[in-house]
Amino acid sequence: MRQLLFPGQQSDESIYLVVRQHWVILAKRLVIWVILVAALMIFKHYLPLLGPGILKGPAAPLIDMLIQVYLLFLITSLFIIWVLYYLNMYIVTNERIVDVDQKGLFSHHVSELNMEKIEDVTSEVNGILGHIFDYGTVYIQTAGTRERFDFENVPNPGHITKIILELYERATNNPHLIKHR
Amino acid sequence: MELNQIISFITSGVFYLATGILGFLGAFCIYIYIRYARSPVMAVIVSILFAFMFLVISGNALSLLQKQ
Repeated sequence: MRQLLFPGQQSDESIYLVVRQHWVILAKRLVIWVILVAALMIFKHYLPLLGPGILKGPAAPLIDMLIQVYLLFLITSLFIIWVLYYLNMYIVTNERIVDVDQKGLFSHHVSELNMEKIEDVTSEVNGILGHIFDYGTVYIQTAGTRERFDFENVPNPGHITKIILELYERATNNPHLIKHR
Repeated sequence: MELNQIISFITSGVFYLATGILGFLGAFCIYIYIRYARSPVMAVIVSILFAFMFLVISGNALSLLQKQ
């Protein structure tokens, strides 16, 4: 059985592009996570220096417990960082563009745009890291209810723009390729 | 109430509250991951790994709590 990537995907729909945010974006979040891990290690290392009896006094169980809870927080936040990165994706098919937004744990948003409603596609690369690693934002101006689709921090924005424009031209030159829903 | 009793009360409160909230977030994260992932098999494997680590740490914390 063929697995569907997004709700409403047609069996004869060809997927040309599935893109997530650039790995640098994930790495930036992981750096913050590593800093939090380092903070715990530094805290554990320098804790005995705060007071000679601090690890044997009445507050010792509370400190132990806080460290365990902090570890739980770290492991859960790592999982959440990964899931939010993984579930945020942009899909380009021969018929439409789908923006799957996972904004936080409790907000899953799927937007679709038919190829025929595209008016303008722009790519933008910003910042030092964006230029070094070649990632940026692709803006798709539409004639639909949602005025603009943004592919944020995607790798090779210029290449993605080219693919979308090619598919748009192919779809508008061959109206049979587009199914009107 | 003695100081030890107060600390014990705070410690167990912190543990159960934090583990409850983080456990709920983790469980919900597993749910959306498996539901929306492109490869549910991989999602299940990663989720089991996360759940295992979570249970090991919370089990360790629980045993610390019981030693008090």
